[in-house]
Parts: sequence; structure tokens; C-alpha cells
Amino acid sequence: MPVPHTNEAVYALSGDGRRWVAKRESDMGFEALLAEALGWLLARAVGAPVPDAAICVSGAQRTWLSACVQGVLHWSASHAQRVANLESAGAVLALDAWLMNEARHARNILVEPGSPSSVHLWAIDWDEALAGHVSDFVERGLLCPSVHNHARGLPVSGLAPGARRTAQRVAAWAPKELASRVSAACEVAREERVAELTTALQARAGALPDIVEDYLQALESLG
Amino acid sequence: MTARYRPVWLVLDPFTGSRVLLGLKVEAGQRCSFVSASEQTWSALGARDTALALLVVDELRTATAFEDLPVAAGPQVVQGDAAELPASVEDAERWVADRLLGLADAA
Repeated sequence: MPVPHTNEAVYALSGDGRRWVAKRESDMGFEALLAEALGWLLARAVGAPVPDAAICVSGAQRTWLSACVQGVLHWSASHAQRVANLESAGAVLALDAWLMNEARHARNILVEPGSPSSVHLWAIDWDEALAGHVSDFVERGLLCPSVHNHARGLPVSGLAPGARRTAQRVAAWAPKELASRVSAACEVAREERVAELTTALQARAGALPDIVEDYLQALESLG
Repeated sequence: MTARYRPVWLVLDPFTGSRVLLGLKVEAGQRCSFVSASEQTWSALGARDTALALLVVDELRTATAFEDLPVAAGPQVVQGDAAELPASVEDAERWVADRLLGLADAA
């Protein structure tokens, strides 16, 4: 069953009855698979709100599975005053800045109604993060990602403290904390340039507080 | 005046296809609007789905395009084919509310 408003994603059921949104590597490319795995592993490490995920391996075919979050809308500015998880959602902005994800548009933010006056945000789809394209990512050095395609109307001032705290935390990570996750993501995507990607991510991690400041400033200017 | 309408549903479960009618989009002349179904239509839903339906309806009320759904409506909203209203209808919104959604009877 295709997922509406997406190019290649389909709904899928696993044998244990769990519900997933599935994207095949043959449709998305190994770079996108690497970006998904890396984004998810790092998001979980910093407490960013991302659905459960899994990788399905069938012969040579690999499929990225993201737990199906039902009962959701996509982002619109009308929810800006109702976001309950500002701290953890702020971590998403720091991760986007770190991984050069320039696709945090409205469709990649799920809005789950909570109590009548609040909503919970989920971040999905890390597949367009430049970190999946190792050479291009290395080339970008410490640049701040563009916000041209970013969702409008986010409560940036409310999200900023969480983004800053995440950036500080990541900058203080021991190298092995990052290396193990990069290694795991590269294994999923069969990417061999583990050291190159780790070095580039480590460099950006050290500079992340500054990159995030630039990123937040650019987001503020979006309105 | 030629006016058109199309149904908009909230898909409650994409795996079974179960869905509930949220209302009708109406295009009359250059104007596009959304006429919501009675909230009683959703009375059998749980609190969670009702909250979702209300938020989606809020987004649909801001829609200005007859062909497309607003992005903010989310991944669980789908729309049906367009159909024309009888040529004699002068107030399209009123007509779909009364004749198709039964809101006149509910009032």
C-alpha cells in the first residue's frame, strides 16, 4: 500500500504485527539508506523524537522501516503555540545542522495531537541529509545548512534551548560514542568510508554550537 | 454557474482502509471552501481520532485549492473525485450542507 504524498514509501506489516513505513534501498539509493540509519541512531542518542526503526534484509535487498505513527498531521504554523515537546524537538534542529539535512520541510514533521491544547512533534525522513553522501559532506566542511526548504512558522525561540543544549552535548561526546554509531550506520548501508565520515562528523560536532547558532538565526529570519 | 464538490476523508487505518467523512470541498466560480460534516459523524471515534479530525478540519478550512489538499492536513487525509452540482443551484455551500451532508436536518 503506497503512503500518500510520498514517492516510494509503502505501508508494511511485519510478522509480529507491527506497522511500518517501508522504503527500499533499490528505490532510495544506499546514500539515503546511510542517511536514514545515521540520522536515526544519532537522534536516539540525543533523545530527539523519532519513531522506532528497523532494517529488513532479504537477500541483497535492504529496506528501511520506520514505525508507522498513526493519528498525525503534517506541520503547519497553526500548531506553533501548542508544541509540548519543545526540548526534544529542538534536538532535531541540532541534528539537522550537524548532518546537513536541508529537508526539514512540513511533510517531514509529524504532528500528533495530545491533550486538547497540545501537540507532540516527530521528526521523520533523514534520507536527504548530506551526511549520506560522504564526499559531498566532507566537502561542505563546517558550513551551515540552507534553510530555503525548511518548514515555516516553527516556534524557533522555544526550540532553541533544546537545540543549543544538544549541540553542547554532542560537542563534548567522546570520539568512541560517535564512531560506534557511524560504524553501525555504514554497515547497514554497506558504505566503506567509515573513517572519512567519522572524521567529518567529529569536526562538525566540535563546531556544532556555532553552526547551530547560525542555523537558528537563519530559521528566525524565515518567520 | 457551474459548481463542483469533492469528498474529503480521514483514513483511520491505512491497513484496512477504514475512513470517516470529514466534509466536502466546494468550488463555486473562483472560490474554494470546505463544508464540514457534522461532528456527530465522528461521534463513534475515540478521543484521539476526534482530536485529529478537528485539527484536520481546521486545516481544510484554510484550503484555497480545489484540486490539492493542504500539506498540513497530513498523511491520513484523502479526497475523492469531483462531481458537479446541478446547474440550478445558486448557493453551492448551502446546497451541499443541506442536501449531501444533511446539516439542515441535524440543525
